[in-house]
Amino acid sequence: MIEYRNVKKSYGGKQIIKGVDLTVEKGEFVVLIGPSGCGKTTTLKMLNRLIEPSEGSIWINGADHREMDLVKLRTSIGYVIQQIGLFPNMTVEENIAVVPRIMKWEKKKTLDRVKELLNMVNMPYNEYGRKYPKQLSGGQQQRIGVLRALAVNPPVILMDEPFGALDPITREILQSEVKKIQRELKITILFVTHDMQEAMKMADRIVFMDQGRVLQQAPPKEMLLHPANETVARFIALQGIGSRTDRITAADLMQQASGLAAGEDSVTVEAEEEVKEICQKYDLSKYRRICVKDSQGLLIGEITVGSLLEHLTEWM
Amino acid sequence: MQEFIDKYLSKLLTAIAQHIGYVLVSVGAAVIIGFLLAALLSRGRKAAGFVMSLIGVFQSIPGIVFIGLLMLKFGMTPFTVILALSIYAVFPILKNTYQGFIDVDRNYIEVAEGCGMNPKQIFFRVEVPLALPAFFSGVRMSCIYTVSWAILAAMIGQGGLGEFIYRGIDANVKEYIVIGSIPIAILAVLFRFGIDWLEKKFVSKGLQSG
Repeated sequence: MIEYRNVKKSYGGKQIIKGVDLTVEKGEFVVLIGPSGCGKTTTLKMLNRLIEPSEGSIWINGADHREMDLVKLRTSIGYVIQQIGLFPNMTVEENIAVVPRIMKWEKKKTLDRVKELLNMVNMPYNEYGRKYPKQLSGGQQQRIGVLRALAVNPPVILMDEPFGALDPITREILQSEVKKIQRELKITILFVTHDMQEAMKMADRIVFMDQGRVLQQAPPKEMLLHPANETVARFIALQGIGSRTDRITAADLMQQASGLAAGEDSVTVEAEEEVKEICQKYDLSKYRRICVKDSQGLLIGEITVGSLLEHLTEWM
Repeated sequence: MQEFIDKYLSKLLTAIAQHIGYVLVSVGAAVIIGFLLAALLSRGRKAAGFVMSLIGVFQSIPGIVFIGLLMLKFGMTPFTVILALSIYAVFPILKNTYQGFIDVDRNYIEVAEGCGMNPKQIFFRVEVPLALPAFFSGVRMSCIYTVSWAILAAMIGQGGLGEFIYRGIDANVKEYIVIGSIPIAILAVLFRFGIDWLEKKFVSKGLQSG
């Protein structure tokens, strides 16, 4: 477990982190998001002490992280950054082996691990091990960046806009891969992005920051449906309604009820259907209610068209 | 001309050997000094600005003046020649290597730190390999310059191919000038190839073009 306790950071009298309290559970995927300059990257880098907090403290599994051995702290926290994270003078193999080498692993053990990791992302060792970063595509480079962070099985990984420089398709694929690996290995990930769609897809919990403060912490859907204030709402709105209604289903909005009956004034949809699709499929001005049925066809709840429209305008 | 070469062949070969010797020793010394100074200065960038501008001024003193001044102190000895050549040979190496260190992207250093490398590991595993191409272009320049500057050895009677050139000018015999100059041109080219070869061998394939 990671705990930020009233962490502050000032540079030359200017406070840029104004007291962050944040708890990250083991195995949780937490995304820090916010406009540029909000302090999300600084917050991230304070964990592996690339930046030292001016005030407050950070606790990792009950120990003040400033009292831990620096090399031990850093080798137990994987670190992935945008784009040029790979050392250009090292081969793929050498890049992945950076942390094992610092920890003085045996050669055989390191090689086995490198091969295992490369297999995990379908980049066989024989083909890619000896290549240099410049010989790889952006997506492949970033995969190796992620593998390097995974090399010694650290319990925690920090990712600072790792997919920012990738094209949308590659980004989507890597997001899925990372999410899958994180779930399987139960890694704790702190992830910085300014892309709400990415946050929605990856996060168990989104931490919204602005001007050095945490404005809201919530699971993705809750943040979409109930932004804590104007700033959060506006930030979400800027990313476009289409992306925001992604993944919000009828079941998320409905009021549970029993003994419902569909009628002339209602349309019936599946619980798993996305709100966006519902809006496109039906002319909602003709109805007053949306009945929601489960997979067995049983009506389990309803949404009044009025409340749906309210949500839609709220998201605009 | 053939007659002339036959007559002076052994002298010419000695001069070439001397010339090569001057270049190797002074560039060798300059490599060590230049690299260490560059590494040191790139740690303390505030001092570096001052030192580099001082060096710029120093470098603008003509070699011929400088070797004359050194001669007053150290006499007409090979040591004077090597000292003067070494000092001049340091400049390109120092400047290039320093720039090479400065140009190492902060992100690489930060990732290295984030991975848990200590400063020594960062220096040897990241900074030096990344600064190496710049270092080699410094050494290349330094070598080529030193091949020409070594002519000045003859000015204080310390041999090298300059002897033929000076004598040729003094006595107005163009054969002297030709058999002194051509080997210098060839040496410059050979040194260049030599450095290219070393660079290919020591610089990571990941940093070489093509």
